[in-house]
Amino acid sequence: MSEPSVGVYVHIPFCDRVCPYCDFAVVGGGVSADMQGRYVEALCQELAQRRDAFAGRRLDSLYFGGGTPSLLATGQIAQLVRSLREAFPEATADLEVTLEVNPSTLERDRLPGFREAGVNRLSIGIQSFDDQVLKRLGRAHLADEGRKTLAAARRAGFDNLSLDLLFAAPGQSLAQLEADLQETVAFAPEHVSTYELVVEAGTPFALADRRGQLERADSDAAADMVEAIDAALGSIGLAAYELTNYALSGRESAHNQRYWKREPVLGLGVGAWSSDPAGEGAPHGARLANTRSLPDYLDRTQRGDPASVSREVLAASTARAETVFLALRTQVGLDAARFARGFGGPPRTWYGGEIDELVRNGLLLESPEGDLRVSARGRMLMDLVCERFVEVVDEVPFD
Amino acid sequence: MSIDPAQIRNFCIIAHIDHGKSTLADRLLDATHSLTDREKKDQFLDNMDLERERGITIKARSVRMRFRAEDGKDYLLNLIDTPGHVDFSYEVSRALAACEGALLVVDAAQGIEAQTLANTYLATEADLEIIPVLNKLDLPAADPERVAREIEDIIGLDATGILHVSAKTGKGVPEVLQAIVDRVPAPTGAASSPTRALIFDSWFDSYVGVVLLVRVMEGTLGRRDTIRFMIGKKEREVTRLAVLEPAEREVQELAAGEVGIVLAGIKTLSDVKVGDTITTLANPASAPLPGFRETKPMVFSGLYPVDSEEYEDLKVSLEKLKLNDSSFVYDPETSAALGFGFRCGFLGFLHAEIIQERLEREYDLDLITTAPTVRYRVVPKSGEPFEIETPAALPDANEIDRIEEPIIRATVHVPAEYLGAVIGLCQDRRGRQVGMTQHGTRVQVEYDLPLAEVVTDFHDKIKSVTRGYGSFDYELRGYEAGDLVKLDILVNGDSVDALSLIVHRDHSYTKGNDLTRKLKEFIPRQQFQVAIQAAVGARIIARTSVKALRKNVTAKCYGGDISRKRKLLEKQKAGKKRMKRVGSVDIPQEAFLAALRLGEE
Repeated sequence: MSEPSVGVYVHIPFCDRVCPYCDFAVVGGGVSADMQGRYVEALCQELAQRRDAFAGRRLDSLYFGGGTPSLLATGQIAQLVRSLREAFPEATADLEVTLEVNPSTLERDRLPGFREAGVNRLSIGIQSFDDQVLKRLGRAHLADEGRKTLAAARRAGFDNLSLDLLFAAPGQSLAQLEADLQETVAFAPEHVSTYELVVEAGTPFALADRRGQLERADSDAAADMVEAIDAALGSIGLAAYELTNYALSGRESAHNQRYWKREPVLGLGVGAWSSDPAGEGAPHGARLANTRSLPDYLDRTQRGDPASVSREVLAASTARAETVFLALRTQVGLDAARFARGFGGPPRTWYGGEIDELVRNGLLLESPEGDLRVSARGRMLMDLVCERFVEVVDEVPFD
Repeated sequence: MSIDPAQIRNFCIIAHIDHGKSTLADRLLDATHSLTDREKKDQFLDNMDLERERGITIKARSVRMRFRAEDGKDYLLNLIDTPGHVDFSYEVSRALAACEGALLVVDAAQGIEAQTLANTYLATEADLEIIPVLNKLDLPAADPERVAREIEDIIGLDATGILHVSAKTGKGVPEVLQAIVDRVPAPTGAASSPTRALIFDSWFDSYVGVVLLVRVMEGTLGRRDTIRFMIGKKEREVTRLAVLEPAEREVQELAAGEVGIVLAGIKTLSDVKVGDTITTLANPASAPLPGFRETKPMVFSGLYPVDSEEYEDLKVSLEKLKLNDSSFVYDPETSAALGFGFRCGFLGFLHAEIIQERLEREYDLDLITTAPTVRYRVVPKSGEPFEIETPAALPDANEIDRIEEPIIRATVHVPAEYLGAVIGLCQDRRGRQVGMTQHGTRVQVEYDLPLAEVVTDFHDKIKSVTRGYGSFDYELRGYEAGDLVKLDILVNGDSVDALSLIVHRDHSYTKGNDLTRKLKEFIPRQQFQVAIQAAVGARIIARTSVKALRKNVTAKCYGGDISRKRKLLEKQKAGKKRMKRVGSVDIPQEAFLAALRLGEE
């Protein structure tokens, strides 16, 4: 990527109900049409404030995530796509525009409208085709709704679909996951994102877990599940181009790849994160986090204040560590030459000892050019590998 | 103006814990108007917090009282306090040697306990006049007749001379004072003889240095006298003499029969030995008083700071503790697993517990304590026998002819219904029964036990199997050869030094199994399988393993996840830094703690 580009993430915080494992910035329960309208306006205001930081960049991806962005009216999505294209007049041909969709009647009916609005890729929150698993996850939909939404998406002409599959759900057996995989394979999506259930602090699942009421998969069972996923998706040509993402060749998500390559992303909306490009005082870029409160977000944008509440200027050592651990998550791995262009030396300049030990232990593979990627075992022990590249800083509290 | 020795009485109080020794001491002070209200603390004699809490006196103090007896004369009564704690039996014996009589205080409800008996034996050996006192007569459960019979049966004292007291209400207290005058012999040494004063206690005072508590047996000791420590072989000038009433009052002279404190410009406690004899250059004695013994630590363990940055704090705290307790020793020690720490020696396991607790409480340190071990005597195939204080010092098995271990004689007093449990416990601990006598509903049973078997939790176990009704005391008997082996714990082939133990061969399997299993519980799965083995010499006697980690990765990583993910990785790495690396295996500190606490559960 020599030519400067930008990806835009738009966070839509609304949900009909909040899943008990979710720790995103979301607002549950019926949100009024008026509120939705105000929010879309606020997004446009934030865009106007922030576009200059990314001025002159080619728009490379658009992503509507949530929450449940498909709760917005088709006209509102269309308005946002239009504003974004106006803000960044130069755009990649066949610009990837992704919308997250949950299986429900309301959203299903809007699919043709979203397509007209410019959305060309759907990420569908199927999670599972097993009613028992869905109920335990506290999802609003049952398996049949998911099937109907998939069918409706194809009918509406979407030829680039991604399915979210959740595994290691409470009480989920390997057989249940295999059934999910079988149905996924039969549907033959272009892309699958897998999510191992993570019990995040502060969620109802965390509470249940503390009380011992959550039947969690142990790490061996989870390892079996990852193997099952690799095998099933591989059988229809979906390759794990990143640790948790599988795609047909050419259907990799342009948007998500930006994160793993540490390319600039403008995040708009409540709780959204941005990766600002390198600039004055931030030679390795900065990461900004927006307020997680909807009222605060509306206030800030209305006053013309920044929506971000934190800005981390990335130190060279932090940027290097991130570059390595993000790249190692991908199938192509770390390009030593590109790394050297960014930081003034190949990875071995800083990580010689770590690389030697990881290679010796069979977790890392190094090409004659110094490119790095993880072995099959290293992929399963990714955190052990990546841990070696970060710095222990004093501020990290130990508990 | 020396005092007529005929008007002096030196006595102590011996009692089991909680039988009311300190309360009675307070009442004696009250009755002789020795304390002003301002000076009154609840229990005057116990002056450390820990002592108050545990109800035991660690360091002896002494107090002088005036009492006008029935004959109209004023008497000086010196109450000499004794450490009420089995590990200090030598110090007790020195305090007793400073007395002519003892009040034997027995709880009128509880009756005689092991500690009462042990101290009574010491008092009898010291040839003291013993005055039995039944205390807590105010309690509804008091059964003075039964307990009086016990005193007659077990100790062989005439029941007709038993005094009845309630130290709580003060009833019977004047009679105790009169009995001291009537029954305790006056001191006999002559003021004109060559000077011999017994050091029966000492402590460190940050203002004046080392304070000696002495009983002048013969001759006189004057301010400005040049004194000689007959065993320590040092000479000093007396800078101050005083008596404790209990407030300190300076005097010019202490004569035969008197008790008081001596300051002589001594800076460190270890320069003074309890039991040493002071004489004067002006009127020197030819031989020290009998009964001196060099005290030697018998129980050892490694103390390590949980946080290695607290090493200096620990060192300073140990120095401070040592100022006031010369019986405890320490040397720097390094463990591959635990880092820098100290090898500490204690008189016994209660002493060890008290020191550790004071370090944690008064000095606010978090400590890892290695399993206590005892002083073993190693008889090599060639060369002189030697003693070792740590398993690491044990040579290869093929160089050893035999290992000898210290043996104690334990006396347990217990209601008959718990006898079975006590016998079971003693048998388990390789005990050999040497005596058993029944007195009414209580039984006194004596066992010879290896000290190593009682150092960890024997005392607690006795209390728990007897629901608190059993009491236990012990004395050291000597050394005996045992079938002892060194048990090593190996993690992927590397020995974990902090967990090495010397154990009896018969116990090595169980211990090895317990330790390996406990470690397995706490060692997290790593990228390789971790073999945990227990070995005796080259032979593996127990093994288990922590399976290799198959998967250590969770979660997606987009947008803001990146910062979060990085922080998680940093935290994970920081956590590993806190682990101790043995070979290529990271072992969390909790694993050591759990292994070292094994058996305490």
